[in-house]
Amino acid sequence: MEFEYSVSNENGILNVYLKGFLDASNAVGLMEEMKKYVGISVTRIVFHAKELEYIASSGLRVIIYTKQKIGYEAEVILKEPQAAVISVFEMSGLINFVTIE
Amino acid sequence: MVALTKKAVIENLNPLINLILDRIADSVALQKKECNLIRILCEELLINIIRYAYEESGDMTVEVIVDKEESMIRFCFIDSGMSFDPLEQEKPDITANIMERPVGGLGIFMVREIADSVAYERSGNQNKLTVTMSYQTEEENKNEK
Repeated sequence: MEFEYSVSNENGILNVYLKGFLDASNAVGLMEEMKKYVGISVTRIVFHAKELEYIASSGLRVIIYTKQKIGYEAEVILKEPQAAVISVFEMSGLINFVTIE
Repeated sequence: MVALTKKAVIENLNPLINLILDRIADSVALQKKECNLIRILCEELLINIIRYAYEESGDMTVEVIVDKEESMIRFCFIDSGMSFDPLEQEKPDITANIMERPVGGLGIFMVREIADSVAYERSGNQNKLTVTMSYQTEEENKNEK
């Protein structure tokens, strides 16, 4: 299942664009990409999820890692998530730790 | 009942899940959100087999039965790897602060949230995890609209 991502850091805002199906087979690649940003100073981490069709525990693992290792002082935003993604965040309890915009 | 088997490698994760959904679609038309939940359920259980069941290599099998009378789907995830009961894993505290959450542990939790029932059995040299999930009938779908 197709998955694309891109990450950019602009003035302390980390933008993570997600498109397609974030599953166990491709979450590793995204995790490796996020590791590159450990140590940088960020105020906001924005996961752009409008085109994200699917996420499961492997993807949630990346979100948790990003918050714990990169954005421990940052606000984590989930931008325009689809219903399927929101339900997974609700199921896992992570909905309480992100801001939906 | 249909039994679908593939070698337990990550490259087969999505092909097997797609096969499962196709076989279910042969019997019943599910809503998109139900298909999504089935995809998550299958991924979480199959990835355990792929990652942990075998030292070398082995197969992963999913038996699927659509029970139209009960509006329920029964899955049985089978592997011949080392004895492992995923239900014995400690449940994550989903109320815990995100800074204190362990990075893993959510997979089986999500399966329990999605499924109506989950049961493990060690049978001979096989791990068998049986999961049931009810679905909304077409009648119920129509009434919703």
